[in-house]
Amino acid sequence: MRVLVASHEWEGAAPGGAQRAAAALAAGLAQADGVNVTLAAAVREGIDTLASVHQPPAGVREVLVTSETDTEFFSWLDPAYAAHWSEVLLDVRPDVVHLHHYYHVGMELPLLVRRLLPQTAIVMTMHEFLAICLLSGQMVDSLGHLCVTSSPQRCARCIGWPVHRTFARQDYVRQALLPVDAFITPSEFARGRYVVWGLAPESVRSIPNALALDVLDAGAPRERTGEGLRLAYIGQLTPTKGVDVLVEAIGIARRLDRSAIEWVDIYGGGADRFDEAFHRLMRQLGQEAGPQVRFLVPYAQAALPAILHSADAIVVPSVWWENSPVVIEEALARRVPVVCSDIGGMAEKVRDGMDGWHFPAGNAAALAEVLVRLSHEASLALPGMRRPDPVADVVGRHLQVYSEALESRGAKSTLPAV
Amino acid sequence: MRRLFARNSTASPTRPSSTGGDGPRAQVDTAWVLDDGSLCIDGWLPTTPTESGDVYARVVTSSAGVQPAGRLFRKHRPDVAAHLLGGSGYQAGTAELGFVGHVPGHVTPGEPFSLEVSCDLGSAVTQPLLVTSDAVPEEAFMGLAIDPDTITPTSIASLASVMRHSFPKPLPAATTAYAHSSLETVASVNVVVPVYGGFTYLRNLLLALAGAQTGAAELTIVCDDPRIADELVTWAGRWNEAVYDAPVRVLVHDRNGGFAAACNSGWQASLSPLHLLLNSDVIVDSLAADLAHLSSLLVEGVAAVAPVLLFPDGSLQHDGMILVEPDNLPGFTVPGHPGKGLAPAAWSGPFDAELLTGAAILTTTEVLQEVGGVPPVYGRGDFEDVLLSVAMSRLGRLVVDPDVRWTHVEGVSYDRDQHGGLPVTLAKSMVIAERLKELS
Repeated sequence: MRVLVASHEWEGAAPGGAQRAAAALAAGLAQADGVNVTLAAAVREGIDTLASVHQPPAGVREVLVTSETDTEFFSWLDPAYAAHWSEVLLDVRPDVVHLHHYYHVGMELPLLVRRLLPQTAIVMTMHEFLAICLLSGQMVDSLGHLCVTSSPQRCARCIGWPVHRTFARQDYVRQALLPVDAFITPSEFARGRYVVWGLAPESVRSIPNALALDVLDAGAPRERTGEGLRLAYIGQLTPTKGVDVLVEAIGIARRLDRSAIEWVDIYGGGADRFDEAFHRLMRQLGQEAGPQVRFLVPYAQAALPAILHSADAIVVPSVWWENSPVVIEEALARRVPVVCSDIGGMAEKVRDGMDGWHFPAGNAAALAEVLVRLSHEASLALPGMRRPDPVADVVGRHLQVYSEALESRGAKSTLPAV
Repeated sequence: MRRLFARNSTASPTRPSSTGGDGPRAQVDTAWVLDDGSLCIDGWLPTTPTESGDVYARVVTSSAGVQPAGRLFRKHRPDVAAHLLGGSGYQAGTAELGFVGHVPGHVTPGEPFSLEVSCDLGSAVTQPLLVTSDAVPEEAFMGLAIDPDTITPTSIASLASVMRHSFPKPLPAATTAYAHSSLETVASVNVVVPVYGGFTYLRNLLLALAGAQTGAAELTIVCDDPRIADELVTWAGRWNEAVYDAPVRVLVHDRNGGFAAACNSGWQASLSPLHLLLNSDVIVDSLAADLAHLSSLLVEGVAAVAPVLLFPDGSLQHDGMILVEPDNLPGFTVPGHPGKGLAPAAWSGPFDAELLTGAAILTTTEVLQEVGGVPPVYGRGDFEDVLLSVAMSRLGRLVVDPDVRWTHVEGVSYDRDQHGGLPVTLAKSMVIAERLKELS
């Protein structure tokens, strides 16, 4: 079976969760018998691909495809990009094309695949909600409120467009997805959102990202060593990630119990995307929280085991729904409990009291209370903590979807051994 | 009414200057003498984009002296004015305050007269320097401001007179600017989409067409707007060749010919037995399946079929039209959409309609040939579909299929306020009443 995994970004130029999931899946597929994998990553015009030290996953042929899209229809900025993808498709002639995202890849790519390779099965993983929510792809409205469902009218009010524009955009995106045989969401939560939006329930499968987490599995959970909690935040330093909620909570916790928090290490990039007001807020909250809050530079993936091992818990305080944060799977693989917002993909992936603890999203005081309470526990070990699915299992579930999609197209498929 | 021929021998052909007065120089492009000796005129004043004002005109003759002034309809489309001027005389920061309307008073055939145009902007007196025009440019009716004060039976009648005698105008020449190779196979249905002003949502239709099975439909785009022809042809050709790969042709009119002319060019360009006349702002979801459904209703005794059209919020836009006489406009007959804006009815199946909207009509080549195509009325806007419906209804029933529901994002391709507003609608109503009498 020849599989072409199409990633919306190239990890060598723009590291991120979705592209990491695509590359990890490609690597996992390459380990399966009888699967030949090509990873095609969209790169923008002008990217210096030679400057990267990035190495493609073992056993995976990696090709870079110049491809950019607009931010409304996710259409190619130039129809000439179709020729770039055509070249790859006709060279690889895959049995399955697995698209990770439509942004940058091109909303018209499913149509192109169907045109050029009618028997090829098309599978798409939905990594967030851009098809549903044009404002941010996060289903958070322009006032910062969580959005439950979309409609042309609601979206028009939120984004300030006329209704006919949001309607036509929604129509285009839905029609462009029609050639896709099967959809995959990394969480049940995201699956529900896409079904409500209009995808046929039977066409959407919830399968976790195929992350290679074995290296993080240290066996026994770590025991607390300090008096106060040692916490880590790992993620983008952007407003919807709720890092300000965490920093504010640390200040409150400190006032409740000066010894509750030993330190909080904050790892992450994206600070360059702060708007000035958010930047000022973070500085102010950081000063109020005191020296326990340590802003650190973005980390290298190789340092992740040590980072996780040093923390009693990690905090995922996002104020948007999230789909399936990679950091949660990584923490659970390392047997580190997670304190997270009680919404969306976070609440699904972290069971309250079993894999970690919930707090009301956006509520710094409630988070502080949880942290102070945890600081009084002798151990944060959670015996029933979920172990992320082994990558081979996840790859096997992907292959099952491929097989069914191929059969629905009338093509013979032999499920390879994993 | 007869057309007045008076010429300013010193004026440039695109932007003649007037003489007299220190204020803005008004230009009257065309004038007509009506049967009662009063006038209809069409012209403009140079202004700035922020300036506007009421415009009046009066006739001065040697025998009767200064006669009563009439207030004119204002036009407010500087881009149209720029287009009319061919760009050569148009400068950034300037604008044209266009006017059209009725001038009371009386002129005697053969007697010299002057026409004075004044405006709140200042005095703008014209000398008798009327420019000959064989036909009123269609753009003369665009951008008429809705101004209730100027709507009087006389002014509407005079506007109708202008329209009545300005059309039909010569048909534009249509050139095939792009044709996809798959058009060698004749499709079951030819979808005709006139384009004027913009084509934002053609991408939705191309995508729907690309997803349809081979032979179900072909698309004929008729560009009725020379200003966007190059852009449209390039866009459609590049995207269709590279991405959509659909049976599409693009026809280009050498000048704006109006909705009816565009439809007629479109259906005549195809050998398909069925033609769907479709506005570019109608969003179609399942093109092939819907066309198959609609086509199945075109049986013996049925002349045309239409889908139900909805607004983006799901409320009803169209399920058939009727002619009505609004309470506030006695004496005028206009097309009405019963139930517009309400929740769609619980239809039990296809039903007959008195009239169908031109936004989406499926009919046959034979019917179109029999009725002589879409009747040209006068440029864009209402009523062409009324006449077409009346003509088709003499050949068979007009049926609405509620199982097919498309969304009409009305207002995207057609802004009523920018195409004449109420005065033009009412004036058209007068003309259409005469045409309907002819048909009956």
